[in-house]
Parts: sequence; C-alpha cells; structure tokens
Amino acid sequence: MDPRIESHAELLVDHCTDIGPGDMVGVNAPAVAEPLEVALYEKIGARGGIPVGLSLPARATRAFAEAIDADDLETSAHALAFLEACDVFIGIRGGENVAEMSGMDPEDMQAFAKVNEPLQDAQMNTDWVGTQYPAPGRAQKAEMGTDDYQDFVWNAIDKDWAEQREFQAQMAELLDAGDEVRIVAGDETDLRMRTGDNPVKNDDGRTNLPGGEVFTAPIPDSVEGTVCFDKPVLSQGREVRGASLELEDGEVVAHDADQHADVLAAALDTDDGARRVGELGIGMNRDIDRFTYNMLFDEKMGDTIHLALGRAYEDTVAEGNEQNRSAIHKDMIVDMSEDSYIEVDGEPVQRNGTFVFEDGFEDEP
Amino acid sequence: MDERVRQHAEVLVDHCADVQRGDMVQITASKHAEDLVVALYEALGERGARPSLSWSLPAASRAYARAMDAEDYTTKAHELAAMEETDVVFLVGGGPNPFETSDVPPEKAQAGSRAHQPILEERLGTQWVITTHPTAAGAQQAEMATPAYEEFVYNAVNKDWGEQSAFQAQMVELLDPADEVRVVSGDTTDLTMRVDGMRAINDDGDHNMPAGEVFTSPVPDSVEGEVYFDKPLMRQGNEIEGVSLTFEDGEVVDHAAEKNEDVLASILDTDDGARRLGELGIGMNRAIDRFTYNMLFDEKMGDTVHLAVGAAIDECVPEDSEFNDSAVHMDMIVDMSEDSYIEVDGDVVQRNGTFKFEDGFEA
Repeated sequence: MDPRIESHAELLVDHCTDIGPGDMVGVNAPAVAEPLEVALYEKIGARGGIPVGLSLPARATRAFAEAIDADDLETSAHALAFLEACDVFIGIRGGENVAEMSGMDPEDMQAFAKVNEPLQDAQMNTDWVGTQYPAPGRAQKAEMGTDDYQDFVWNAIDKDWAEQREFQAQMAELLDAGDEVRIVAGDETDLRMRTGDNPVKNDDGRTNLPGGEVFTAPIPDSVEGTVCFDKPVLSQGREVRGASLELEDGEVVAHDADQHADVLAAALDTDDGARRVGELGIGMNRDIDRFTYNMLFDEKMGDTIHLALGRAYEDTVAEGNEQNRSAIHKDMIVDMSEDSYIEVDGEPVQRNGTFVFEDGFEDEP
Repeated sequence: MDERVRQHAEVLVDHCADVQRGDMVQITASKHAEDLVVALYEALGERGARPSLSWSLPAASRAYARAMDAEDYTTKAHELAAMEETDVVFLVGGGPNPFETSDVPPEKAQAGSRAHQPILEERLGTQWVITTHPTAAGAQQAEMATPAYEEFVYNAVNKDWGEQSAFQAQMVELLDPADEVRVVSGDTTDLTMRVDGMRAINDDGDHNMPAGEVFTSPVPDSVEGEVYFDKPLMRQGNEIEGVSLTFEDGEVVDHAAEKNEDVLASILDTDDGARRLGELGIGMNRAIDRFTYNMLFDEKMGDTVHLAVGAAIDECVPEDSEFNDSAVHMDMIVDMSEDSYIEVDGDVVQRNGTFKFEDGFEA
C-alpha cells in the first residue's frame, strides 16, 4: 500500500478524531476511495473503534432524485438514528464524476437539502472530519494528471499540523482583536463586515483534512458592499460562474452570475438565512498552490478568502450574538492574489495574497 | 442500463418486499453491484421510499478484524439504531472475492457474530431480502463466462413468480400433511426424519431472490441415518467440502469433511442446537440448471435437497412443537440428480430430480 495512504488514515484516526475503544464510527466513502477505507478500517480496529459505512452513492442518488415526487420527500429516519448514535463521523470524498447531479431541477435539489438538514445537524454533533481521496475524476476537474494530483492532495494533507497551527495563530490573533473587516479585490469587490466578539477558529485539519484556514462568522446584519466571486461555485452538479452579490444590512439585495444564474437564485431562495453570510474564511495552507476547483482545497489556498451564504457554525458565534440559520452553507471564493487587500480595523493584514507577518509583505504595493 | 438489472430491481421492490411510500429502506451491496444499487434507488424513488446504503467492504473488514482485539468487539450501536428505524432491508451479494476474509482468525469471526446478534434479530423483524448481483467473481466461482453467468442469474430471478408459486404448491400439498420424509442418494445418503405437526412453506420470494424451494423443519429428535453433502459450502471465507454426518436420535454423532474439517467441527460445537437439523429444503427453481457454488442459487436447484444444521425456521414450527434453537444455520446440499429419491410417508415423490407431478417421472 502507498505509504501516503497509511499516513492519511493515521491522521484521520489520530489527529482529526482521536478514536478510542468502543467509539461508534460512521464512514461515508465512495467506491473509488476503497484503498483509503482499507487503511482506515485497519487503524480503527487497532484502536478498538467500531466502524460502519453509510454511503451516498452519486449515480444512485441521481436516479432516486429523478424518480421521486418532491412531495414524498422526508428525512430518512434510519440514517438519522444512525448518525445520532455515532461518536465519530469520517466523510471521504472521491468524485468519479462531480457533475453527477447536473441537469436536476434546482428547486427539487433545494427540497432535498431541506429534508437532509437534520442529518447534517446530527453529523455535526459528532466528532466529524471531511477529507478527500485523490480520485481520477477530481484530477480531471483540476486539469492535472492523476499522479500529479495525488502528490498535490497528499502534500496538502500530510504535514506538520502543529507548525501550521502556529502560523495561522498569527492571523487568528489579528482577527480576534479586531472588529471591522474590509475585503477589496480589483474593482468589483469591496465588502465590509463586523465580526464583533465572535470566536475566531484556527483550522488545523481536525474537521477538514486538509485544514488551513482561519474563520469566523460575521454579525449577520453588518455585511455591506459588493463582491464578485472569481472562481466557479459547484452547486447541485452545476458550475455557477462569475457570481456577484450586493449586500445591504447583511442581506443579498442583488445577485447575478455569468452562468447558471438560476441555480444561484434557487440557492438564495432556500430560506431567509440563505441570503445572508454565515462565514468569513481566510485561506492559509501554502501547500495548496493552485486552484483545483474543489472547495475543500481552494478555500484553504493562501491567496483566497471565502464567504459562505447560509448557516453559521455554532462554534463561531459568541453567546448573545445572532447565529445565521439556513439549510445551506455555500462557500464562494475570492481570488486575492492580485490587486487585493484585507484590512482589519483599517490596518492592512494581507496584500496581494501575502500576510503582514510573512516575508515580502512590505514589497507589495 | 441493462434492462435485466431494472427488472431485477422491480422484482425486489415490488414482488419481494412490496415497498410502500415512506418506507425506510437499507441496502447493503458490494461496489461491484453499483448498477443494481442505481436501479433500486430509482425504483424506490418511484415508490416514495427512503433508501440508505452501506457498501460491503470485505477487504476493509479483513484489515479491521486482523487489527482488532477479539475482546474489543461490541454491538455496533449506530447500526442497531438504524436497523430499529428500518422497514425493509436488501442484502445484495456478489463481491469481488468470496475468499477475502479467509485469513481472519476464527475467534474474531465468532466475536464479530456474537456482537452482531442483536442487529441480526432486529433485521429479521424487517421485511428483509437476500439477492445476488452477477459479477465477474461470481462467474469465476461458477466456472462460467461472465455474460453466460449474467444470463443464468437473470433467468433464475426475472421470472413469473405467480406461476412458480403454483408449481411449488404441489410439493407443499405433499409435504405439509406428511409424517415422515426419507432422502436417499447413492450409497452415501439415507436419512429419515419426522415432520408431523410442522408447516411446509412455499418460498416464492419473500426473503430470497431467486426463490424456489419448499421447506420445513424436522422434529429435532427424529432424524436418523447418514448423509453425504456433495457440494462445497462457504463459511467465514472458507470452503468446506465433502461433509458427511451421521445422526442418532436427531443428533450428529459422527462427522467428517474432506476439506476444512476443523471449520465444520467448530460450527458443530457452537451450541447444542448446532448438532441438530433445523431445516429440510427441496429445490424447485428449474431455471437454476447447474451448480454455481453460491448457496442462494444451489439450494433452489430442482435436483437438490438441502439440510441445515442449527436454528429451525419460525414459520415452520407451531407453538406447541419443539423448536431447534441455535446461533448457527448452515445449509448443506445433496445432489439428487442421479440414483436418488425422496419418499414422503413411503411414497416416492421425486426420483433422480424429477417430481411426481412433472413429465418424465418414473414411479
């Protein structure tokens, strides 16, 4: 077995979840990720954990979604009971065909998202982690050879996470001490928001592997301005390209997209919370040095920030502050590598992708 | 998609399980059976049911079992919780390699089964169905080309089950009121057992697809004689071959096997009930015209009877009759195609594989 697969599995059971004897572990993995599953089951066994698979097969789910009457949709009681009994949940993505859900009616997909919301809640109540297996489908999406893509994925994953955490702590401290954040990129993006006393999380690869971001929730009503997302957002098997939003008093008041504007509109119409921002994230994993059109990686890239429409994570909202609630959590990325800066309380903390605490910051215009 | 896969899914969802709107449905399947999983999801969507899937992972299970301490096995609380909320279960066989778990130490396999017992009991309370998707590995086990094996599987599965049920009813009528059954094959098998008071059941697809047998449970103490099982059976990733058993007063008093006799012995030692017969089954699915070394099919073959040591079958045993209780239920097959007959109360009802109600029967 490829030793990188062993390391990946070891990180999942040790660093990300710390599985112990008797822990009930749910594992969701596609067929293509079987080598990682074999390594993972072995390591879970060595720790006395109890694994059971629960999968979301893409082709089958597509066939189901086409066949079912949207009125018949209800939350799966058996899957919910399963997740509620899990101590740990490990989600592995593969991606044999990331476009499996393309062509579905966006409204039906929103109905799906709604009935699945309790499942998401239950999963998030476990010690959960989401990761990626470097499958050929994802390599294709990244426009890379499969071997090359494997190197990319495992470089981003198999690293010294304690060191990474220290690096990110510098940004977390700046954001934690600040209140107002301003993000400017080119002519199209100029967005302000307050983060108040909301906790700033240092993502060192425990819930996402790879990790590598610093994130928090904005105060829902405080988001103001315009933002253009340079990179495509994958939603319901479609790529929404060139999405732009205008926000007033925290709410999306205008929106547009170069492609699949209807998919964006359907996402925004899911519920009230879907029109507000639930997360501000700043990418800091320097091993992720290119876009691969996979949110798990792109949002951790050092030269990006991302905003999520919809649900705010509970642990990023201070007590007494409003938590934005929604059935969706849709991350969208702004490329910050050129003609861009981030300010915290009026002080620039990143210019053209280089942080204030990194070499070369002063050289950026 | 292959239309035969769709038909298979329709048979499972409509005929076997009669899935209703809102039913919570669990599927366990090998990744090699993805086509059938897709067809099942589609059929379930049309009926407004809710599917969930667990891929069967023999290679991962093997790695896990070898790393796990036998004393750490405990019931999978999350799987049990899901089963308690489940109405219908489809177990789809057809993995990449039936020998994948052959080097898991037996004590771990047993620890695993013990921990699994509460989930098994819960599953038996659902509308459960076992079936097989034809894969290259299944074809290899059957020593057939893959397309020929696919044809074989779908002929056995996609048939007129109403007609098959009527055909089998003729055997039920003979067996249900009977007192004594005798099975004779060559020089090696001559076994008698009483079945009075027991119910004979017509298997037309409630729990197995393919279906196609008539079965009952013998009176536990009544089994006398010897039996030789011609065909190998798989147990815990091991093939047991050439099993012979001698019964006295219903109990196995002597046993042998040509291959993996130790595995046979450990199964007979599981508990008291494991040394007694729990089932007599008579295969009647004429589309199954050859052995494929898959019990689900072989036991339905028209020219076979099978006997199971271990647990009797609930629906065969009335409340006031003795029920053979055991943690095991191991089916073993006798080839009845040559030099063989079945007698019911002294009348021959099958000779060399041909039933008395079929053309070509020689009394």
